[in-house]
Amino acid sequence: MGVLLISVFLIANQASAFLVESSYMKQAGGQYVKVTKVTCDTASSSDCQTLCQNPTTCQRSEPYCRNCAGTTSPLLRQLFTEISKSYAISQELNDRQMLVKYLATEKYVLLDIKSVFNYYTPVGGEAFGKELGFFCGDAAESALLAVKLDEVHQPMALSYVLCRNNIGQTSAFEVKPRQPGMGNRPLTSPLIFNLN
Amino acid sequence: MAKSLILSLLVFGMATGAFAQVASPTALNKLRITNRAQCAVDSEIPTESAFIVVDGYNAGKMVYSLGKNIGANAETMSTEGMQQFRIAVTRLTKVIMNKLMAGQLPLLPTNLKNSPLTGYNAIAEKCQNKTYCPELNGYLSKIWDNSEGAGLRWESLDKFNGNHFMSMKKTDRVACFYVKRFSALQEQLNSVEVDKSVLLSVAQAALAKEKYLTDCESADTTLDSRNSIIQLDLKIPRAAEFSSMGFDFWNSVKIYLSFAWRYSNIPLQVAPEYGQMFRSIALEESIMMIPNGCKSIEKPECDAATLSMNSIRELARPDGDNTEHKKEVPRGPEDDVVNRGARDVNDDFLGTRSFDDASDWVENFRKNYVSARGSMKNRVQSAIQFLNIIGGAMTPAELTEFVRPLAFAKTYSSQHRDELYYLCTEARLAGDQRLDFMKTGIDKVQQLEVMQRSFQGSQVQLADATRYFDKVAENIVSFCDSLEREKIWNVSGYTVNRSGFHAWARELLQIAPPATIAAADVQPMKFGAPLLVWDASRVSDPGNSICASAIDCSRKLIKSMVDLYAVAKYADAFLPVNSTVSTPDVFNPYADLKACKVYDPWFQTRRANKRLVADLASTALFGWNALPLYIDVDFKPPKVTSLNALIRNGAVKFDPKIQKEKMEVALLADFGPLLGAPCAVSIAPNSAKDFSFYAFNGISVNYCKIRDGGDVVGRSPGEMVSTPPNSKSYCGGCSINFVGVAGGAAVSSGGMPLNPIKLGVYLFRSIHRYITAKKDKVNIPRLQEIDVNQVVATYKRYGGIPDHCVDQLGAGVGCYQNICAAKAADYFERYTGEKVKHLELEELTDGNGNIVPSSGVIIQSDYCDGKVRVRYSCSEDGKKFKTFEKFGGMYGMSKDCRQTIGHNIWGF
Repeated sequence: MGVLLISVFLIANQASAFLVESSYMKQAGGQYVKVTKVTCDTASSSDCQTLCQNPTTCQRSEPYCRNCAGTTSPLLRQLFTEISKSYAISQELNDRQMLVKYLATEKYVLLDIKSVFNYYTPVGGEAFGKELGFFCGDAAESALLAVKLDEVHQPMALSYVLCRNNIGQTSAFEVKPRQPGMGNRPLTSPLIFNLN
Repeated sequence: MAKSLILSLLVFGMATGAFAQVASPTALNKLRITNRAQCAVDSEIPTESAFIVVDGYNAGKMVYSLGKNIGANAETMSTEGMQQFRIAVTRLTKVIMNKLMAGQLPLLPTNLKNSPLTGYNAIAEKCQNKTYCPELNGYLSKIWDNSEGAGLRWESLDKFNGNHFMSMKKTDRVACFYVKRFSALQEQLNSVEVDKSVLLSVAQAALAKEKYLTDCESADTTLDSRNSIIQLDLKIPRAAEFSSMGFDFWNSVKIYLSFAWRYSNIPLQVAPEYGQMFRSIALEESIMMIPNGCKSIEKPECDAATLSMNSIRELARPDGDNTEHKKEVPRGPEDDVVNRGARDVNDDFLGTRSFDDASDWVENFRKNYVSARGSMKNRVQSAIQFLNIIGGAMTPAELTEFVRPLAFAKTYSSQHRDELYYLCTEARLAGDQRLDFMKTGIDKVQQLEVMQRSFQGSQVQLADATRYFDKVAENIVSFCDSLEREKIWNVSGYTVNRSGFHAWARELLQIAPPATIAAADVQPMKFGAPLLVWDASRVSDPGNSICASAIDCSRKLIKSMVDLYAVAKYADAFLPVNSTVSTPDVFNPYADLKACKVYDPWFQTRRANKRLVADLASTALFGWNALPLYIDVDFKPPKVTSLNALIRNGAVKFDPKIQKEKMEVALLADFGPLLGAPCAVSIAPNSAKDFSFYAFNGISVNYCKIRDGGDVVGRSPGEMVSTPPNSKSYCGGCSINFVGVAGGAAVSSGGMPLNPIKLGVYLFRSIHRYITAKKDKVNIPRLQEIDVNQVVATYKRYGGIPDHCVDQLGAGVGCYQNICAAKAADYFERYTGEKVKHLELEELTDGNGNIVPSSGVIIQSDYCDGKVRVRYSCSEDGKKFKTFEKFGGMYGMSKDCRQTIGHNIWGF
């Protein structure tokens, strides 16, 4: 199980619903890093407390993602080009504790519409936005794909799709690979006899 | 006669002077100029000079996207990011190389069979089927930390011993350049022989070197970092030792580089803003290491990995955008090796100098490479995706049951007949064991580890997919047999629309591509709603269909397997299945040809030696007497007729099928001795033998010369063609025959059996043939070296390259009075580390006052105050140069010099 380094930033005057965001920041040494920021309100403060022993805000640097800046990963190719074809929402995650646990313990990266790992379609472009819109509707701009990394930091699986709901809170959805349909025809009904 | 020699020194007043003025030195290694045979020999020697081809695209794009994210100037950031990436790669590579050479990092063995490193061996075993392996990372991190000063005993990490460490003095041993433009400073890629013009171009390039090279870490913003090529020259003091450990050295560089890129802080130091993010870059697809010349980074083997990797060189040509890699069904790299065979080398066949900037050459190379790689990745990933879809959606039996009603309909439209025609043809080509166009090949793909690795993360594995395909193909082929019996395609007025085949089948069937885009757009026939869709709730949505029908699904299944088969041919070179950077032998096609025994660089040497022995034997038999016979022996080189692909341990090894070397004997009847007439007749099974009866060229006027394509060693400089003769005939001729006349003269002078003139001529002919054969400029290995600094010094001194300097400079030494003196100067400089300032030939006078040459030179330098005599033995061509062992053959001619050398044990 990966060890998660959580750095804590207390923002005294800001508190909103449970919200997961991803952005870039410059570290003290000058290095740009991608960070996952989790903000909690009073109702969800226990989640942030669990995450980083701070009731309002947690922030964590993303680990490196092996070969993600390139065209090596078949998973990233699939996610950036045809996620709506390949994956379907299985259910909304009702128990946020699972997401919190995931965020706290797993090695993952978050992909968004402007992801620097998108080597397949224009960054911030319509194509990927449309794909994300399939899961998050109008909130495609703020949609996040949580991609789990394996022991050697390679992208391994799409774990959750995170959408911002209409009250500005993050909803997590579990996904599963889409099972192709049979064109509305059960296998046992050979409709296509004597076509001519 | 014994002579008492009085030593005297005579300054050899060569007006040209013997002052080795050293120009501003370049740190380039000596340029190793090799001909074809030597190039083949060199392929088995580890290189001391290599290029890193750096493609800044991945870094540039990532930083560009970052700029967009943070609202900064993305273009500027991108340029900066590419530059920092280039410098970070270069710096890290240099650091690793220096650590290895200084013994701060252990060598990681290439050959694990004899390796005593039990820890490393166990990890290698465990990681065998994985591209990346956490256990290896753990092992390497301990080693790396120790190299950074963790202070552990190496023996505590693994069973390291002295053999695992190089022990060169700790200093920067990597001369590193950004190549702005290819020039004579890489003359080894452009010449097979050193002559005056080569030396002149080297001198001129070196004098204007800022046009061609600059520091590899230069932050000059005018340098292209999107496509760049970095030259790394290793300063190896003992080349002989490096040849035994060099391949392990390069293996280690590759492994540590991939590891340290993600682990060490060096990229962060070089790229203060983006270093952290650089860890996510697909480093192994962004850079490539290629040997700078004929030597290798990896020892070439006759296997698919080597041949496919080295086939990358075709993409480096200026016209490399249309290679076999892009074919739908490539024949594979072995085809090029066997059928194309011998070719020219070191004539800038990759067109490095045809581009104004080296970065343009890199751009063309990378564009072709990335395009071929992209096509292969897409093919393999699409195939795997489809195999997962179809495997998850239905069983093979179900799929064929869906095909059955479409195949056996009551009536057929033309389009329907077309659909079935395509299906049956494609199924037969790929899956019919009886015809076996590809079936055996497809079966073998599943045994390849490199292809198995491509299925990592896939639910359906390669073996499952192959089983699925086999069952479907078997059923469909049986359907097709029935359809053929029913002659559904033998209908009047029906002609198949050949444009509808999948591209791979069109290529195999040699059907020209459709003339127009519209003609190519043959959509699969719809039999109602699509059989398979992505989302069953959106059946009619455009783009939602996976297969229009069971026929379409079956054809897509076949295509997927063909794609895997096609990609497998070059998988080692293009699929992301290796955890280290690629190192193809781009500049040396003979790496493959020698490894697969298609070209034997020593054959011509052996042939000359064996022919000499045979000629001498023939001379001994017939040269002394009046018998009008002579036996000519020649040898046809072995020929590789094919490479049999054998799969061992999940990899394809090629086993060359060789037609053995063949001895050819011709009997020559020389009538001159009998008739006193200048005539000779050849009786040989191959009339076009390149044997001349005569000792001297140009005497013969009328002897048989029928060309039959059966040459062994060819016409233009040593062209090595070994095609078997395609005609056989016997022929003779009558010419002015030197030997015959000589023999006749012997007979007419009294009928003595002993014929000294004929013997002499025969003997002369034997030696003449031997010397001629040994002068083969192409197929007898020949090595020359150029020390760029010495060439510049000579050029500056003389304002050009004098004729007498050519051989000396081509031997890798400076220009002095003669080659032996030049070698002595070179030896002195290497021994003392000081430049020769003045050199005189030592001469001796004997008791009669005659000046006789000596094997010694007198040298002045900063090494000591005074002169030093260097004594040596040396052949005329300088090849057998050797100093006397004691004190390196040096003797101080002043007290200071004797003390410096260390032989002034009495203090005077």
